[in-house]
Amino acid sequence: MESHVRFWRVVLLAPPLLVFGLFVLWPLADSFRYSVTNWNGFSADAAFVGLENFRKIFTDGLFANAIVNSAIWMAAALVLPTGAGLALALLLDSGVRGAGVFKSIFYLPICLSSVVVGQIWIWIFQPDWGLLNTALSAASGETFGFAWLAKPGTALYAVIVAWSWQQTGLAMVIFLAGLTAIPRDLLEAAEVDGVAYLKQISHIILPMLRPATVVVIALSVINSLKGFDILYIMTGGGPFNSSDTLAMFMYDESFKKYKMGYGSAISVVLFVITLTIIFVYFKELKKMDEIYE
Amino acid sequence: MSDVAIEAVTKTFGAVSIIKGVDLAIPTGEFAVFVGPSGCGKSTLLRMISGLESVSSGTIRIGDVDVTRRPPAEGGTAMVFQSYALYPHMSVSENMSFGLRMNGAPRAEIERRVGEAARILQLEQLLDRRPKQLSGGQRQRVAIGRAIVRHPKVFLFDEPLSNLDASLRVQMRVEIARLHQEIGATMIYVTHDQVEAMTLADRIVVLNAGKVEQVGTPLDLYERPANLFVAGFLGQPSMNILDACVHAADGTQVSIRVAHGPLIGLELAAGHGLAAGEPVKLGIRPDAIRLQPRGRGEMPADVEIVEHLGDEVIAYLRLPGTPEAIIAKLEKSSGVRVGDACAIGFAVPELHVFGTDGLARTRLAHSA
Ligand SMILES: Nc1ncnc2c1ncn2[C@@H]1O[C@H](COP(=O)(O)OP(=O)(O)O)[C@@H](O)[C@H]1O
Ligand SMILES: [Mg+2]
Repeated sequence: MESHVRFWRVVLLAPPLLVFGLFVLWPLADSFRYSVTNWNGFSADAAFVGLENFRKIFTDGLFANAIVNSAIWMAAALVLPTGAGLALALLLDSGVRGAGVFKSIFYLPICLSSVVVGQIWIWIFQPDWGLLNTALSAASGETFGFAWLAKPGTALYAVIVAWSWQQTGLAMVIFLAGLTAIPRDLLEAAEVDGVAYLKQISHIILPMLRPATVVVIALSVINSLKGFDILYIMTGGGPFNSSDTLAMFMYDESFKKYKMGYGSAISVVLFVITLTIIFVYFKELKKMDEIYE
Repeated sequence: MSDVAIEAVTKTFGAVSIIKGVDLAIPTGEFAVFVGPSGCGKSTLLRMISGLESVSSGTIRIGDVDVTRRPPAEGGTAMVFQSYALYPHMSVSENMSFGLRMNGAPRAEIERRVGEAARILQLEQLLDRRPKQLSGGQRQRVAIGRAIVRHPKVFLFDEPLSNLDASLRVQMRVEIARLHQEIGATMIYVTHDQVEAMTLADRIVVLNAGKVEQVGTPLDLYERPANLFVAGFLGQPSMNILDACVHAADGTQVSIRVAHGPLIGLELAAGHGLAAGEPVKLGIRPDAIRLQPRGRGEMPADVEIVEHLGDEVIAYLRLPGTPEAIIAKLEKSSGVRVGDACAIGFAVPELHVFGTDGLARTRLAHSA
């Protein structure tokens, strides 16, 4: 009986474990392996270089640039969709007319692929006939021809706007679900006690939205770490690496400059950063279980 | 502390009329209970008093202030919800002090009031706990404490005991009665439970389908229900309602023939409007029924079911050859048994007479 159970456990768990091993663990182990070589990505020979790649990373100006951009990217991805999503959720939950329609509209971008979203915003930022410049021209009365995506000062931020626009719907939906879970009585009790709406938000709604907030923040961070395709479509990391993030930097070094060993080392650093963030997230999640049923 | 005056108040949700013209005056310090079946509009009326629900027409005044169009904060009421509505992320004392803190009350004053409420409700040992760590009864006490600390003009309770189990409900009922005695504030209490209404109220307001059926002291309503609805709603088990017919009416002297039963003569106040041949309903409380040996009594009956409640016995009686059942509440010493053939005797002074309009006809004292 006992061995029977064990047999089926093994049989049933084997396929997913095999897939996970083959497509996650193996490549992961491979990146660790390549990260201590000078492999170029296709040749048969690769020499062991020890921690040389890592030493190089921490002296590479492009890496520092990518780290700073990644930090900006992540901070923006954290703050903008979360804030906008929360504001929209509060607004739509307060029973404004047509809330259902607006929920769908704001959620729509999430259903689009990043490539499509990127293309939409390329058109919006297009210097000559893009929506943004057309609007600015109309508002100011002067011809406005700024190349948002082609200027180092604005490229990263333009992509951040596009990215936030897409991610806001997701945050909104999660916050809306969180709001629905707050009993109406709680806010009515506060209302009878003469607590102003803004104080209800800060003292009741936000604390009670903590579980939803943790989910939104975690998703924002994880998505922002994965947020490679929209950058690739809109700027490709340019101009002059001004919108390079770690993922973009890794891609460039590995596949454009044929430094697979160096690229793997960057991916290892990215992996460690991701792991740290996820670790913090789970600790936070556990703390919350102790407060809420 | 203030009185509450409700004048010609109505409430419609869309096209549906929920409160259909309510007039009420609740004097300062009174414990008023709104009672009625589920869905009759008790909560809606209470929420209109609190300001949480808008008033479709009519006026509501608390003390000297017309609060009809004011937001809840300006009414000076405090509300205790059926769900307790405690903030899960705050401790007991934070829950109780929340309203005061948010409105910038001085710290010392907040502490004094929370301490006072905790003493009244015996919550002193629990002040640092979270709601999650409390039992249902304790949670409800915190919810009441949150109302007390605000020193409201009027306390509003919406079925505060419905989520508690039976024994705790009785215990909390006593505590609420004690609370009212101790602080003497005006309280309006909503319940669908007629026992809560009878035991707690200075005055009961019976609501049905958005209208006031009758207002009066518990004893008033029990002894002199104004209509069939109130007669049937208050009292456990319910009043027996028997079909009957006016046999003869001569001024205030009226004789009534009970279907399958005796001819009863009684005296009704002038203006009863009953004429010979007119159908009426006779109401009789289960505890006003006497069982007699078959042959002696006026109305033969068989005992179908007997329920022993300890100090008393509930007997379900059937009139032979009819679908009518009558419930009697008897002394435990009555020795009634299933299958007994007996006869029903009425205590005539305790009979209630209702016309076809459902309204009670006033009995004159000493009528036989
Ligand atoms: N916001 C609302 N919109 C529409 N109908 C409502 C609303 N609130 C209550 N009602 C209706 O009003 C009636 C009375 O409700 P309520 O006052 O809660 O009854 P009670 O408290 O006596 O059980 C019910 O039929 C209920 O469905
Ligand atoms: Mg109700």
